[in-house]
Amino acid sequence: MSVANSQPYEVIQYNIEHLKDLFVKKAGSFPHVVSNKSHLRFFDEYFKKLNTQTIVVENNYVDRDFLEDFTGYYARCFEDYKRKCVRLHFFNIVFTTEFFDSILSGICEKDADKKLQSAYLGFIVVKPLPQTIIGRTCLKTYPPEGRRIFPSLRKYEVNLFGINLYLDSLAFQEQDKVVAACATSALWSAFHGTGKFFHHHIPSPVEITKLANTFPEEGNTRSLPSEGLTCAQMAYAIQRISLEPFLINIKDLNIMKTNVYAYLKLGIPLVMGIVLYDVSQKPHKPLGKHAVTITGYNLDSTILPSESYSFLKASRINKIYVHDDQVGPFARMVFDGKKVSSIDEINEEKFTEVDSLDTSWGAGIRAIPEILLAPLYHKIRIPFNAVRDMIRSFDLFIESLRELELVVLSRRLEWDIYLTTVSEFKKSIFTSNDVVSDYRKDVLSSDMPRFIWRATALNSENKKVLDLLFDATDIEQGAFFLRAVEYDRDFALKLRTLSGLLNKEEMFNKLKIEPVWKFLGWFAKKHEENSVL
Amino acid sequence: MDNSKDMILINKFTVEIKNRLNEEIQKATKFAKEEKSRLEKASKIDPKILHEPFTI
Repeated sequence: MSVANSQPYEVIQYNIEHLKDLFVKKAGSFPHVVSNKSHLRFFDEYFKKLNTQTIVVENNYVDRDFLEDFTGYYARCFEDYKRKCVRLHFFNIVFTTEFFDSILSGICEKDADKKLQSAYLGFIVVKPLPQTIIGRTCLKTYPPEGRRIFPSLRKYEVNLFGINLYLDSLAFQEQDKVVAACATSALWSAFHGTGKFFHHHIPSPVEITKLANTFPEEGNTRSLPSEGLTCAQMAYAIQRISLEPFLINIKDLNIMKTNVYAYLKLGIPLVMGIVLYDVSQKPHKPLGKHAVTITGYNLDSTILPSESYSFLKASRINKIYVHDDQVGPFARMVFDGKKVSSIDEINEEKFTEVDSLDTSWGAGIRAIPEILLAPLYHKIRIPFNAVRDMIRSFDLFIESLRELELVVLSRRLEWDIYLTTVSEFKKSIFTSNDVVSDYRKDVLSSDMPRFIWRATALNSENKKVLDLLFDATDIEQGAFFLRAVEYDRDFALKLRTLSGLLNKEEMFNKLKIEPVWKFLGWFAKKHEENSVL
Repeated sequence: MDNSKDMILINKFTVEIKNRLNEEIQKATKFAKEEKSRLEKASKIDPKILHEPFTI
């Protein structure tokens, strides 16, 4: 049982032992339980990296998510569980109880609250449960350093006894093994991203588990306590909050990287289903299926991508960051090229070598990615692979022109393909000098749908050559190519002229039924119209 | 439009270049179709996976 909290707040110097003591005391847990939690090891490393100095303990905190879970399950237990939580706030400056007292009393130095804001690192809600104590957790990410990218972050506003604090994060919490297993926690984090972006209600863990379990699965007779959700149940929960579940097989790691990049860059957190393996002994032992939320990625400019994907920027991903409810928020998973011996799907007596990722579970535990589940707004209809296939056709055509020296490019174009919105796209044009004067006006005033697939071609100097824009709200059989935006004037002139010439030559009539003609036809028309460039 | 650059490219577009470009386009189209079909196959979901629970 958690200990009653008589004083409203405490200020404590941060170190991992103090954090451990707080977890034990505030949750009413046991030291050996907290010591054995992998989260504690994770937070130790994480808070060191963030240079954490001080904790402000907000006793008697009412957390909406836990309150929902409490009324949905714990309130009806015979045991007397508490409904109030404790919230721990972390700061990267040293201060004392007296300093914090002076802020609340209004006798502090000027702008002291601003000082607190700039030092704010986020919070952890401690749930009053015996074991699964890590509740809603919003922490700052590691600094980007030009390679770590977290598109799924949203702004969280925090009110600490009247002091306004905020941070960019994505909520995380540990599964409680009662109202939520890993799949529920993964969906809950994803909904924190999509809820803000697509404006839907963010259900609590117990609500998610109940929604998912209205889809009956054979052999699974009760929803609570939850023993886990299937992929079909997760998809059903997504539908029940009026989003569309988009499911992708990601056993091929390049398919995984390119899809993760394409959807996550818009800010949509993705749920990933993995199979965990213990590889500390032979044969490698499967531990079971686990679900995590993908929140960010790391791009490595030195990576040499595999041949068939060399044209996609996404193939430079060398790490992803996930909310893994058994480890912690923004936990690393690394593409290190190592494989796992997995039981062959056809002949179960055989083993096959399968691509895998290093995890933050500790040495010897690896993951084989299985499925990716993207909760999409219903108007996002054109999938990434439709755009990727069209870009491949166009890229190969440009390669043919390059081989014959009809265009000048020092190396193959690299394509940055991702989902975006019309507002984001136009903002990027408006705030840059990539295109100017009448051409810029023409691009900015063009009619465009709310969701757009943007494919940017980059040259060897990482400079934009052109954009190809697609209507993500169209149907695949429709002409979903919207227009190009030409940045490299010389390249564009050549492409326009060549497209115009190909249009007139009978020899190339067959080309006009190929997908690539959707683009070349546009450039040919621009050539014919002698349109502004 | 820059007519001088336009003319340079038009002059470069000889019968030999046209034939070679046609060949290159045929090859590229075939490769693009093969890749599309390979990736479609690799992305296909095994229906069995849909009903296996995530329990860890």
